[in-house]
Amino acid sequence: MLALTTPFLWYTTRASGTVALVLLTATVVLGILTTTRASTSGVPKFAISDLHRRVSLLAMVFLGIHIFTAVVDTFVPIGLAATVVPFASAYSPLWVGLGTVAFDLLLAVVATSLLRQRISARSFRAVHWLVYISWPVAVAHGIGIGTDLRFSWMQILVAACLVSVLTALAWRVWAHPYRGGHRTAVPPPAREQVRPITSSARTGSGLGQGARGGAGR
Amino acid sequence: MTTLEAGPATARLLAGLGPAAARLDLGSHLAVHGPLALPGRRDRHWADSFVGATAESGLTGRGGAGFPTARKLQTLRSERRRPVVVVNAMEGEPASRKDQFLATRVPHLVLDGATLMAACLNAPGISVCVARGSTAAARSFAAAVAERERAGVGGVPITVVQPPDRYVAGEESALSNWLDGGNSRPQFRPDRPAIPRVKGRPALVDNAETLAHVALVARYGPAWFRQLGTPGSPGTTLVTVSGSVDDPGILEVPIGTPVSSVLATAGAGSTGGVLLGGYGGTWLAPTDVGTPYDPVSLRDVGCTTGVGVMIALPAGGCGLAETARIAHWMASESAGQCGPCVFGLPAVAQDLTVIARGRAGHRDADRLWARLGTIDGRGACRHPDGVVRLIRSAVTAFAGDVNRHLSHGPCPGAAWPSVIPLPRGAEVVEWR
Amino acid sequence: MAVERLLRLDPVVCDAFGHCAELVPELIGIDEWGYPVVDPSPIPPHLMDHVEAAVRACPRNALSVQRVAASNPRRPIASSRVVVRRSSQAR
Repeated sequence: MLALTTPFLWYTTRASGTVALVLLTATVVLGILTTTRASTSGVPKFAISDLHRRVSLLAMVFLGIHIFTAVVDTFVPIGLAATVVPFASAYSPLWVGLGTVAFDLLLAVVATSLLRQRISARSFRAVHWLVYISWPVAVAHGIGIGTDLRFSWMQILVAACLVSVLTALAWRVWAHPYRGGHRTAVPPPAREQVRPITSSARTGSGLGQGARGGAGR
Repeated sequence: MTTLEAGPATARLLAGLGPAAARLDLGSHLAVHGPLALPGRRDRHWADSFVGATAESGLTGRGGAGFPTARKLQTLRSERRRPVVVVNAMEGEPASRKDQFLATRVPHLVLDGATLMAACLNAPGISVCVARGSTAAARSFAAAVAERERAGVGGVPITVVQPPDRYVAGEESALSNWLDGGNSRPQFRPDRPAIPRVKGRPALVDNAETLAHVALVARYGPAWFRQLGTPGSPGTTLVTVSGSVDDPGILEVPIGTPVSSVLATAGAGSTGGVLLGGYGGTWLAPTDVGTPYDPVSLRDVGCTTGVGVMIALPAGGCGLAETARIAHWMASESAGQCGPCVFGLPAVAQDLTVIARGRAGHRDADRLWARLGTIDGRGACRHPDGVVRLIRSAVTAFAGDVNRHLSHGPCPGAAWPSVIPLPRGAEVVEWR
Repeated sequence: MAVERLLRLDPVVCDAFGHCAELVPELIGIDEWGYPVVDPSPIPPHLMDHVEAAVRACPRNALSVQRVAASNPRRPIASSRVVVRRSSQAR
């Protein structure tokens, strides 16, 4: 097999991975912001939603570069299978494997997103929630692989990613609780006295003892 | 052919029922009405004449929509797949007991109608839908089905099923969704009128009382049917009279009988207003109680027949307070799917409550009116529309009361006990 | 045969995200609870692009465009007697 390795590939893998993580984090934050229905005068709701979609595609581009260069570079033995089969890499199988898991989940999310108009709303949402697994797994992959974690700027970057998602989640949960349907907005009044209505063919009994003047039971 | 007397207490559906109104078993039913004339095998001529007779009778649906029965039948006939017949005996309106009455006293009349429809449509089966809480009705239908099987009456298999006891569960799309294995929530159907589908087959969904009339028309003919009622709305109809009356119960009345006559038969004196149709219906002002009970005349005074509910308010009673109670209950019976219903109904119910309690001003009344316009027509089903119609009619029929409440505070009647039955609270949460 | 296009909203799946009212405010307003009020009349051709953007933008896929024959339009869901208050922020 052709031995292809240059420092350029290695640096590209690390850099694109870092950028992909940042973009993925931004995607998650924008997605959470979309659900809060928040907006500013300069950034309307549809723009946040649109940004979420565009940033996610950009993240996938950088993720593609990251995976491609990692596989092609023979400096570390990561086979082609390891791109989609978790823990199949010779190099650092656990941490690369986590990256593979995150990538597999993202593939499902992106596929359902592109086919959103054709699949059921429930399927789309169910798969979309997988990002709440994919993103932390991607962060774990980044930390575990640890290539650049010795630099303080990398540590700050990863911490910032974690903080931003957690903050967005906290804001979403506490400031904008889900207010969908399947419940009444105000509780009904106390139960009225139930007057039993029994059927009769005008034989006098039943339908309560409705009397004139409203002085019923 | 029996001669049946006319009058406010006419007996056609109620024929053969003694004063105790005991259930007619198969034998008694056949003694009163004669045998059911079913074709031996698939007979197109018979089906054509059956549809023709139903059309000539001018029978309209008794489930609230008042749709011409023959037209619905013809639409189903033109479907490629064999339809199923669904008997809607859900009767979600708490103040209506007519369908349960038919089920427990003359089930065979309802089943005859369903069997005739099934024969005409070449349907593979019939589903009789009874609300889960109506055990007597379900038992009576089941017993009737067994009687028919034993006696070899003929016709396709009939199954009695019991969807959940929710107000909206009897709505056509909710019913077909439940029969299809889903829950009892109305479905969004952008194409109207949409034919409900059950397991891929189109479904003929008819009210139990409608099918009972169909059975009578098939036996006695459309000309006989048209002897009573009005030219536009022929025949008789069942009315459940309750509220401030001495003799509440179910009456069979020729359509067109003045409302006051119906109330008089039920032993009502002067009234403060009459709720017609159901909890999504309309209020008849005291001055209009002489109106004939038919769709056209009632429409002229802003009212509808609905499912034959007639609740008489006592003289001096407060229609606004009663409407507010109904509106709150209807809000709790929302399927919870659509924002305008989930949020709008409690809001207008609260607006009306504040007015009824005499704590509102004209701005609150304006806001209520604006909100009604916002909610109307924006749900997947007609539930919010019904509440809007009810409140609008209350404000119109009791306009004087509204002004008095706004300027002087509540009337004494607002504190009187309610005559409106409002069963079950929000604890019942089952939808499947 | 003249074809009209109607803007349809599925009120069951709609979750008051409000993107639609931002993208085609000429046809969609917001009620006081944040839910869209859709104009039931045929979509003017010059707004078709904006309508399609709104249909694509909806996170719940609640919007759709229905084509009907001009001679026999199906009755739309949204009422035409609607009071619309444009609110700048859906709560």
